[in-house]
Amino acid sequence: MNTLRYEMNSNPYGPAPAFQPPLVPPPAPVRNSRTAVTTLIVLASLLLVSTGVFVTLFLMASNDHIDTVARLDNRQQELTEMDGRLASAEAARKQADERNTRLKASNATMSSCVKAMQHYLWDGLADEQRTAAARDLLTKCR
Amino acid sequence: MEHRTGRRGTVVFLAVAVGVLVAATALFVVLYVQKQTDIGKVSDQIGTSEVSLADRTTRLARAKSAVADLDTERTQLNTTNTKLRSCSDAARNSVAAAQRSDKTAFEAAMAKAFIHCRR
Repeated sequence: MNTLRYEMNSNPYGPAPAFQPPLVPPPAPVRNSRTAVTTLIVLASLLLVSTGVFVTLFLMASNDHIDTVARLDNRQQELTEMDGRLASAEAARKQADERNTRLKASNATMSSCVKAMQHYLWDGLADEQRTAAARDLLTKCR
Repeated sequence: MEHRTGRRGTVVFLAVAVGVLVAATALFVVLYVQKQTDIGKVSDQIGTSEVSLADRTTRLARAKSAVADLDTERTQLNTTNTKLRSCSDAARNSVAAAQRSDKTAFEAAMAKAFIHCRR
């Protein structure tokens, strides 16, 4: 009885065999090509982004360039205008200078005559001095 | 077999796309750098123009103030000129009359000289 029970409890199929995974060949080429595709997709995405970034930068720089050129044109125009104004101001200065020089010369000439006349009239001159003053007047007030 | 050909096509397509994108990035990098260089040059020119403009502005202001000074001086010179001319004209007329021995004219000129040649 006892022996029978013992036999009933034991595994009738004998010891279970150790687990063995099924022998499947590794899909090496497929995995390689999948990795390549993934890499290329990542690379292409990065490059797409960088192209986008540089296109944007280029367009922004183009706009900046247009603005800068417009500013330069503006400055050059102002400069031309300023040159004209400066030339006319210089001409006016020269003209005024010449006019004043002429006036000074004329005043100097008249002044010598006026001084001679004033000397003749108001210095209470005696005969000889008076004659000398009259002669001076003749040369200076001709 | 067909599956493998499709995958190879994808790889080729992606490789071409990567190549094209590398070229595009490089192109736009070059274009961007060129634009920036151009902007730098134009900015330099603007700087030069602004310096010239400032110089011209200073010179214009100087010329204008010189003209104003000369105008003030001219007003004074004109006043002096008018005063001197009245005496000098009388003196000249008196000399001319004396040389012509025209007594009437000489006396008239001397009368004017007495008025206009005061000290």
